[in-house]
Amino acid sequence: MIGGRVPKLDAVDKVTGGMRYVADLDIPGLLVGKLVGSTVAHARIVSIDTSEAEKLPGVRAVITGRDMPESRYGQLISDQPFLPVDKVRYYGEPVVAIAAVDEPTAEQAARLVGVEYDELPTLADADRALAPDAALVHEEASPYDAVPMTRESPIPLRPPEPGTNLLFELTLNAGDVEQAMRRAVRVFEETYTVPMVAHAAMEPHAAAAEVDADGGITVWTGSQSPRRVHATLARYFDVPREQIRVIGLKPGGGFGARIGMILEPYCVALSRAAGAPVRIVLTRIETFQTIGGWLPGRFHFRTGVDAEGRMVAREVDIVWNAGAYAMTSPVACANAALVALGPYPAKHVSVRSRLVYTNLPAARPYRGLAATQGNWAAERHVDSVARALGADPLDFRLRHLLRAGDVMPWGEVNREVHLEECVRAAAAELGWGTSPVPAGRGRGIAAMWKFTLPGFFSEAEVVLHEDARVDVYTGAVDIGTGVQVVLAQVAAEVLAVPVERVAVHMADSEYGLEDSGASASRSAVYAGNATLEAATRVRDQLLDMAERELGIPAAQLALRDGRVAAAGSPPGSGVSVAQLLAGGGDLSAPGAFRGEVRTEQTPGAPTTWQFADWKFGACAVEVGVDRETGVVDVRRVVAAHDIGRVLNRLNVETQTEGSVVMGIGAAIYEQQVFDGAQLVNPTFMDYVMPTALEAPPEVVPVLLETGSGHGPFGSHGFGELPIIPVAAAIGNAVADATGVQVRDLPITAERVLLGLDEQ
Amino acid sequence: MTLAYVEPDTVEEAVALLAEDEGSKVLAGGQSLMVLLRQGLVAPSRLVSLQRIPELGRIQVLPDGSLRVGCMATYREVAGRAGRLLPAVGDACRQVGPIPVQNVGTPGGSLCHNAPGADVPAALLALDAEAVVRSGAGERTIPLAGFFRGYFETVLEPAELLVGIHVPKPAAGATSAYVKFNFRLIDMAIVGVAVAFRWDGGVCRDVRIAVGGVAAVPFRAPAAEEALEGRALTADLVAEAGRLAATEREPVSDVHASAAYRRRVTPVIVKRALERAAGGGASDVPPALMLDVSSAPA
Repeated sequence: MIGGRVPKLDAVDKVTGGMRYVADLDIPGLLVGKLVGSTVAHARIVSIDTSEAEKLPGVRAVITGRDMPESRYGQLISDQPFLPVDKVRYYGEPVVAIAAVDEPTAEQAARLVGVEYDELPTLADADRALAPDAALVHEEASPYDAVPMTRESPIPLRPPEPGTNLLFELTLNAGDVEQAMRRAVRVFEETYTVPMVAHAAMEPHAAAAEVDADGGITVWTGSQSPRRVHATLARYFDVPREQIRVIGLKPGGGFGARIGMILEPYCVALSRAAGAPVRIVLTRIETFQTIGGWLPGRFHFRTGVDAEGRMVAREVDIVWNAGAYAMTSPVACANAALVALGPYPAKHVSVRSRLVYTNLPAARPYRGLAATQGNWAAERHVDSVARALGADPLDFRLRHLLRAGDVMPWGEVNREVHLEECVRAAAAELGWGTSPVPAGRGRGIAAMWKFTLPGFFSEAEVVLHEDARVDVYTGAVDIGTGVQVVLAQVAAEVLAVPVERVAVHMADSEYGLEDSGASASRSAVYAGNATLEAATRVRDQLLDMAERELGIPAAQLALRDGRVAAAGSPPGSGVSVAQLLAGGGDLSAPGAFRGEVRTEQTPGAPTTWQFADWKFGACAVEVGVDRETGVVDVRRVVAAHDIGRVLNRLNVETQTEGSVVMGIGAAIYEQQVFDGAQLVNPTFMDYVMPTALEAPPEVVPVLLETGSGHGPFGSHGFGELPIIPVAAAIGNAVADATGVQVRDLPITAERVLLGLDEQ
Repeated sequence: MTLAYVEPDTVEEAVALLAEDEGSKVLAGGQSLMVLLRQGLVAPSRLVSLQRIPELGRIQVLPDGSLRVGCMATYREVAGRAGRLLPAVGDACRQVGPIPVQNVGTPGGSLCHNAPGADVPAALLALDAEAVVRSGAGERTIPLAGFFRGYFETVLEPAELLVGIHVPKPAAGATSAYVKFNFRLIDMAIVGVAVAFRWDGGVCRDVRIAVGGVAAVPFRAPAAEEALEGRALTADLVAEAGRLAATEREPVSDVHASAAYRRRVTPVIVKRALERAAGGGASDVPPALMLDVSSAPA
């Protein structure tokens, strides 16, 4: 059961088109909601004229920021208005919302809205936004609240610096970097960059809401964090939580783009104003323009190497372009800064990671919360240092690699580190040093590590029925990860029933079960542990009942095929679940899990930072490069990870394939291109991401089952991991094949060819 | 705002409809027009669909050996019927977008749409093809060399309908090829090069080289053609022809590639197209795009 290849419970629905997404809901009396976006990137709003739109037959409501609550929203920093009244901060920012009887009417009404802007200087570039005389994206930065992502989060969050565009800054100093650099025999200095990359989920963003005559609110959303949407909607509209029901539907892909409130507040406000249910489905262009991609940034490294060729000092200076609002970027800014150090603990370390407000659409978390960006920079830099020293990139890594018990620069010590096994496994599977590299090809490797904040949580409830059917209730949502079948497997394993007997009910606030949402590779671990606890309690109750019934101590009883009997007794003996529960009703129990720190802290450490879960892996790739055109062709990708314990092999393999192809997209094809602050490629024709035809011929998952995870049966969260080292491994392989060091993502054919021409 | 839609039964009726309302747009396979409509980039008053005029889907070899392709013949049909006779056209049709586009989209529509980076216009240009155009005033033919005017623009008048494409009979010893270069197989060409010539005792004659994707319209490269005329295809000459073709027009820059990169890789693609034509059109079209549903065993 656990570790098997159990297909996703919704797989058939998804491939046959039977799946119901928000856009498919049939809600009686439903109106079409439409957002009117700003036509400039940065401006004061002088006036908004909605009178013509209101007169159009078929228009049921036209609202502006005056119809919205005055408070601002933020997952970490309360900086975001829904429909601003004073100024707009990015191109396409919604300023008016319309509800109409159909789409053509809503679109026509949108064209009738007149907004007068007084334009301000546009800040698209983070360095320019940091200049002392730069215009301010948020003049009112000081009154913003800063709320940590979790109570236990070690990230020192502060409100933004008033009077500047500096949104957040993380610094770390350990040892004496300057002295170490002076003593180093060689110092390597390099700069790497990453552009904004879109999530490009298949389903465009969508939400619907109905406010009834008594003020009761029902929301349908494809959110990744429907339980958080429930809590924040209540706070934002200042209504009791019991008055709101949020029904979480499975989204058509999330990848971080659906975390937090997005369209739900507009739908609620429109429905209130119109007195009818309202649904907003963004067009693809609106999705690209208003839902920012991952956090783009620039990394500057200095690495000091001693006479023995050891890296002894590392300085990292990062500038991130957050765009118009904070979203979860402060945590990304911190997380990725530590990732960017690379899993090679040097004694002397200096980190400065600055997050800057600009007029780009606000960057959002993206599969790994900026770990891919940090890893790209770190693992390209280390590779480049190794090559410059004439060392084999694998040997060089193995010599410096983090091992169990090493002290991190910030003072944390982890005694469960299986990174070396991952790196060796990836290299071995690719044939590193054992099989010859074919002509025109190159090989590259990259290690990865990532941390998860403590304090996230999940709740579940398990119900065992008389007929040995099981219902699992959870606040979690399955955004395509397959967590739903994993929860079914966990309950089925504990209660010894076939997985088909388990129904998993997800993400409806009516269940009253909390969940932090689908992020940070957490659902299978957190909701899994909660389900495991609940199911175990149910089993224990059942065994207690059987003990009384059979007169055999519970400890000697086992559950099998819907019966409880003495362990090792022949099939059909003992008592059936139906007999035990007859007349007494169902058995049910709750379960909960909160992520806790499992590492140690060293005395006298420079910080008190500790994380709930560390994850490790490595990626090794072989690429071909067309030397006449610069085109990079990824031939083989090996993804080796410490997964702790495989819960569902099919899930893990397909997650790996999807993650790797997504990583290849970021490595070679994808970037959101801005002219000033206006996106110039908001369609799938111009935003080029890999299709099935661009997938590599071979993706090989290597799954190390160390039992080191904090999830069910020793598992680690996995969904985000394989993407993280892909881009760096490809960049390193291109360097191996050609000698060309591409330091900017994506590794376009043009950049490679330019490098070849310069040789 | 509603969009009228009509399906005339004859060419005469279609032409009359176009003349009656100059805001009309002709709908053939719709593979480009539907995208433009969705994005609001065109706002016609009426769509005139040609799907009920069967004669427009015909592909015929005329008595003089030339080929006439009706404007409703799909990429898939044209590749199947004309691919052997005109390898460049086969190459181009088999690389237009993904398979579903090839099953519905039409070379005729592609000529009229004239998107930069379209495959078929460059291939037909190298084959000296002509557009056969009908209007209330009768039929006229327009050599493709004078057909493309600018970005998404041709010399067609609003009341004119492209009813077919006429391709001269290839001479004895003729060969041709089209090589498409892009980063993702389903995209438009960043550089697409079609070449056609005939062998004459080991040297090339009647060399025609057409380049798509580089400029606003596909263009011929006369200096490069001249350099190869009457010569054997040596590596040096091929490289020289590539260089000449690359300087024929000022390349465009877009999100897919810079002008400098287009200029830099044009000689490479010219070389590959000449090699492909010289090799008689080897089957190096990406296998995924060659999946031929029509010839699959039942």
